[in-house]
Amino acid sequence: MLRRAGDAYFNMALDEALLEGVRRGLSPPTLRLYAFSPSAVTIGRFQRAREVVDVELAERLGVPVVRRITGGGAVYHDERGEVTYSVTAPVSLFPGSILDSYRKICAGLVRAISLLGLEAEFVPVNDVVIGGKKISGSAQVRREFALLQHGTLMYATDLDTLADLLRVPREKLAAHGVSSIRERVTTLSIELGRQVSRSEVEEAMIAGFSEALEVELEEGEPSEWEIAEAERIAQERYRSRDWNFGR
Amino acid sequence: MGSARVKRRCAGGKTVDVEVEAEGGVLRKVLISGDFFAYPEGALEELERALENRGAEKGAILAAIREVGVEFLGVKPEELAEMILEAAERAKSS
Repeated sequence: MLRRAGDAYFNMALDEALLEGVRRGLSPPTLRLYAFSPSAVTIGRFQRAREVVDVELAERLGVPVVRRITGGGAVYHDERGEVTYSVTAPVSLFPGSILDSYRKICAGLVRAISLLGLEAEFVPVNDVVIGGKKISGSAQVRREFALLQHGTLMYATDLDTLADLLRVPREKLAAHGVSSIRERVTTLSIELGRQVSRSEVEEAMIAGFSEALEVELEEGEPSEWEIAEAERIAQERYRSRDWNFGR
Repeated sequence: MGSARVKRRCAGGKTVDVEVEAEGGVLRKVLISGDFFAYPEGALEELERALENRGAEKGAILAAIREVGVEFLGVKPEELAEMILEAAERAKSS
């Protein structure tokens, strides 16, 4: 298990380095918990940046916009309001369908939330919701026999900033029976009616993943290879305007 | 050559946006965007390339999906093929 905050470019690159490390047999299966510093928006691999993010506002706010290697939607990573996790492992540890592996990993989030005293459920394909409102979204990619799944758990995200930065198609909101993104998402602090701290969320996530994945986690640091590979990938891919805005 | 876009929220729950350039019943360029998932990594980009210069008909599109071996979450191959066809049809009159 790794904990390390970084900027969006490094964060996405370290997740990819861990995926590549598993693929090459250089990295063990890993749970990583991290923050985005500064706050950032990540978009899905196949999204058109300008259609899902107010790019000008992001620029004004100093919020980097970075394309992930995973599919899925746009996410606002509030430096002081969400914990991002990533799981990198051989696919063989997750027998069954791709959706089964989402369910299994997201069970760690559901368990973490229950340890904090709330009832959440996994809603396929990739959401965890409390009372119908989204509190977590995840996204997975598979490279040969290695998988990376990462996602967010919101505990105190500034939902007004989130709503300003992300552009959600009207049809999508309508399908969820709401008219604005603000009505469709929630945080642990809102649901518990108190200020939830980052460290208690992290502790719950460690326990939740450990139980759901039936593994014993041991805290560690990224290897020299993982860091060097992440720095290389950050430079080559995630800092590239072409990668981030080329679709 | 004409081009057209078709954007839809699919039954699988994800938004899919297809942009097609077509000429005389042949797909020239297909760009598939949205918040769906495609496996394994790189398969969607490979499918976009495999669709270039294919006939704009359902069987050919579904065959390309099978050949590339792409697995989708959030959109069904049938839905995607229909959207590509619809965009190709609209591209005719653009």
